[in-house]
Amino acid sequence: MLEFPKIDKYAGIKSPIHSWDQRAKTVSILLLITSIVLAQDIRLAVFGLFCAILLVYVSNIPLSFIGRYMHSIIPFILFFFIILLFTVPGKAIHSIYFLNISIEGIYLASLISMRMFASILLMFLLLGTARFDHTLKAFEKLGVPNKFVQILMFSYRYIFVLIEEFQRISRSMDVRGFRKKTNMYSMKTLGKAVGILFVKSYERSINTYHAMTSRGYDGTIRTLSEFKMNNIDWVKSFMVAGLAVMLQGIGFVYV
Amino acid sequence: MPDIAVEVEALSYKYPDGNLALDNVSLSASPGELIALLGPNGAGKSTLLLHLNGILKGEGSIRIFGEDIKNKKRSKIIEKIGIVFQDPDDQLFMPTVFDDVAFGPLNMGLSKQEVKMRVESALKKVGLKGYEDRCPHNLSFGEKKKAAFATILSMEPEIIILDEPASNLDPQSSRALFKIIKELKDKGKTIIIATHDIGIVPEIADKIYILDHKIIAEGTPRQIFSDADLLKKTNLEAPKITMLFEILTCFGYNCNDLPLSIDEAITHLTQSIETKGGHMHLHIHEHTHNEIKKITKKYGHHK
Ligand SMILES: Nc1ncnc2c1ncn2[C@@H]1O[C@H](COP(=O)(O)OP(=O)(O)OP(=O)(O)O)[C@@H](O)[C@H]1O
Ligand SMILES: [Mg+2]
Repeated sequence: MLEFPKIDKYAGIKSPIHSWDQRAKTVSILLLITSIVLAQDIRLAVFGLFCAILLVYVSNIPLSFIGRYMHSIIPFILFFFIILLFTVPGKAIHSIYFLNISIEGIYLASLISMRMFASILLMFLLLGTARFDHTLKAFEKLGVPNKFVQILMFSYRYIFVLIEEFQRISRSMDVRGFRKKTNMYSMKTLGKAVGILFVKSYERSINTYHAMTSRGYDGTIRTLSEFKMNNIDWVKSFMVAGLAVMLQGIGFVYV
Repeated sequence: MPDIAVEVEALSYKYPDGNLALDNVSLSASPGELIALLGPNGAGKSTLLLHLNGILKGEGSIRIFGEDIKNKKRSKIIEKIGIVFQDPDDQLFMPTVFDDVAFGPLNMGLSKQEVKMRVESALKKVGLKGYEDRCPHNLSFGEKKKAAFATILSMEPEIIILDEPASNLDPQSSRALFKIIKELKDKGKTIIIATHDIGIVPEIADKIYILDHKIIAEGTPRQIFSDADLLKKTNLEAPKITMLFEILTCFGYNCNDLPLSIDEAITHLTQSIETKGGHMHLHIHEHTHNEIKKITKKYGHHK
């Protein structure tokens, strides 16, 4: 059976980032991301990326785990890098057929990929260092609309259920001798299986809705959450938020 | 307090695909009573239970403590009546077991402290202490059943509806579950259980309804389980212990009211041995084998 690494797989380990109040972490990290995304100078972007890497390092999350995620994200960044490389107008320094590469292109492509990479790392840090339901509770406490939190919550809760449901169907077809081939019969059968999956999901959602209303659901999801800020949380928050402000400050004053 | 907790009158329900699942069903439960709903697969037990808190709406009327649920706000109904579904996957939807069990109490507007206490006590009761942070989806089926029960226990409703609460539970857990159910009953809760677990029914139930789209029969466990024809007609069976004692009568054991549970069996044995001066005499005579054959045939156990 396939294994689906959950982004919060390493939420249980210990590190200064893990112990940081999730609300404060959310605000500070988002602030830092915004600041990095807004950085206009490549030196600042490099510094931002460096900070992101440092924070991820401090979080103790195994490199291999991050690698698995980055594996699917890096091609994406690369794609943007290449597009930008060839499309930004400027003085050409090299051309391949009719495509020109310019200094401006290199600069902008590097700047933007650096920002993307740093932001993704930081996002990963935010979501990877606390259980996802805890993060959602933090969102809720921070005033993210309840409906939006519910959407995230149910996606998180049911995505794996759905994948497993399909695996179950596929396994059941397998033990009864069905082999996937590229012929009409195979396609038809798979189509039916997917259809059943939709019907099942639909029915599951209705039943779940009944279960929710049976226990008093009125459109708002209420959870118990306990958050407490201590002094160390404040210090961490000021450090990271300070970094964000500093990046912008330097950009404003010197660049 | 009104003298009827749950009253179903002339309820009929047709599924959208035209399948008539319930046909003119009537049933009632007094406060503090435990009702067992028996019947073959597909008899409409789950369908009936889903009507009791207004999830399904058929023709006929349903009254909870004398009030028609049609005229009541849903939130008022669910505070009185808690339902545990047959399929626990339908019941559990929050990211953690704790959140799931806390869901109902939080919606009831209870204080933080109270909610925590209730969650803790509900999880402890069903034997899931320490499961607070687990994702319900990753539990075993039996664990899910227990968690599903806990989500209703924590709401402490007056009326509790259980659809096959013990299916897939290991024997110990099943015992423990029925012990909780008994305790709830002793506290005066009204309970309706749909189950195929014949062995436990006489121990806990005050009244049995046999459903097969219609109500086929209604009575005390003794009335129901001594009606062999009825049992056969409805895919049911008498408890094993009852069968054993009926077989014992073939060996000369004197028994008019066959015991339905282990407890009754113990009482019966003790009494009949004591009256015989501390001994019991069993014997085989020429008709014994034929009589046994008759009995095993009656219960469908003939080889
Ligand atoms: N969603 C549905 N749509 C159509 N028919 C249904 C639906 N759910 C159940 N039925 C049918 O209604 C009848 C009663 O089903 P129900 O689930 O109430 O039976 P049950 O007594 O609970 O059975 P079991 O002992 O197997 O749990 C069955 O014939 C079933 O096939
Ligand atoms: Mg059922």
